[in-house]
Amino acid sequence: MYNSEERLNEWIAAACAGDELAAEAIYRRFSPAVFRMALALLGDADDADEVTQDAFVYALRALARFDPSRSAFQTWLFTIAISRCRNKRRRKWLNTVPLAWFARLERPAADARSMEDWLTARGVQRELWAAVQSLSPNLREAVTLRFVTGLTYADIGAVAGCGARAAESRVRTAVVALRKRLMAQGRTEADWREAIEALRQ
Amino acid sequence: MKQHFSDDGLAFLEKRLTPEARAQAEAHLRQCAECRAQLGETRRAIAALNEAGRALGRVPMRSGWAAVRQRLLGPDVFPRRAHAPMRVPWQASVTISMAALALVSNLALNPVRAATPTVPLIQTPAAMIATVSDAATVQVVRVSQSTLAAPTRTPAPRGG
Ligand SMILES: [Zn+2]
Repeated sequence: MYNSEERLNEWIAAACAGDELAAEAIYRRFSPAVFRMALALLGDADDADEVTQDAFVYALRALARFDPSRSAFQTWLFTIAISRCRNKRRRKWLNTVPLAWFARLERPAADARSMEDWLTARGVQRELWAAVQSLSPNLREAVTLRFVTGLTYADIGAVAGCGARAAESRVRTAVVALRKRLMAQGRTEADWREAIEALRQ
Repeated sequence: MKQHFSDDGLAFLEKRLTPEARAQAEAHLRQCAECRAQLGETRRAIAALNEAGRALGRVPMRSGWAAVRQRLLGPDVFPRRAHAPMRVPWQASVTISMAALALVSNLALNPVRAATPTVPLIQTPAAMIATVSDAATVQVVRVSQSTLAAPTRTPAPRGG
């Protein structure tokens, strides 16, 4: 397509000089990833939208302070967004959030092959979600960034401010805790297969 | 080789083991039903989290550039933006005098509140306690907000 890093550096330089189109291009390129990360951490699309806006307003004002020798641009953006996710989560953590999460994911019944498939999927997802929520904040954040957002350990370490080794150790601890909790629920392999299949389009 | 997986097989599943360590792990798995069961459950949990990530990728963003732009510039900064120069001043405070810097950055930090005190873009008490049933209301507020910027032209990213 194009040399994205070169193009990005041009955009950053231009936006620093006050070029609105360059700022908008940066927003369009990176906002979906920021939104998705915030959505994974917060479980609520409106909260994730606010965090994405806040992060970009801050980042575009602070753009001159971005140092490419210290981090990738997306990592820098994620770092800005994650502190806003943490604050939001501290300010507002309602029991309704898991329900909101499922409401967002729910598709029309016509879409599912059978209602049963979909309920099974929701059942397993609900257990998994509850298991993720039961983790301590650091573990929850690390395991979400690793498997839902798909970041590397190096990126998680940079974004969460803990370093790659601690990130890996947090994910490992979280995975063991999740597995223990899920195994205690006695799901069969067939349950899981159905659930994961039903989540796929 | 006799040792159980200490990490639930995470490094194994993520293919981070050296060839030797991987061969050892495979040998252990062949003879240890407990580790096989745990590895299977870990793999399924990770697969479900991956799927959740893909599902979240289909959730559309609620707002777009117009909302961010409005908060950067404020609706009243460039009321006739079509005739304004391309260069916009959100980075200008870097180069101007200290007194002006204090003023500009103060405005820049609170552009929405400074410009439109009666219609805050976000962080309204209602938005902060919004639940699922409130989402539509919050959304309506945002939509009407974004119309305030009233750009007379829709900017598009160059190239891409
Ligand atoms: Zn074993």
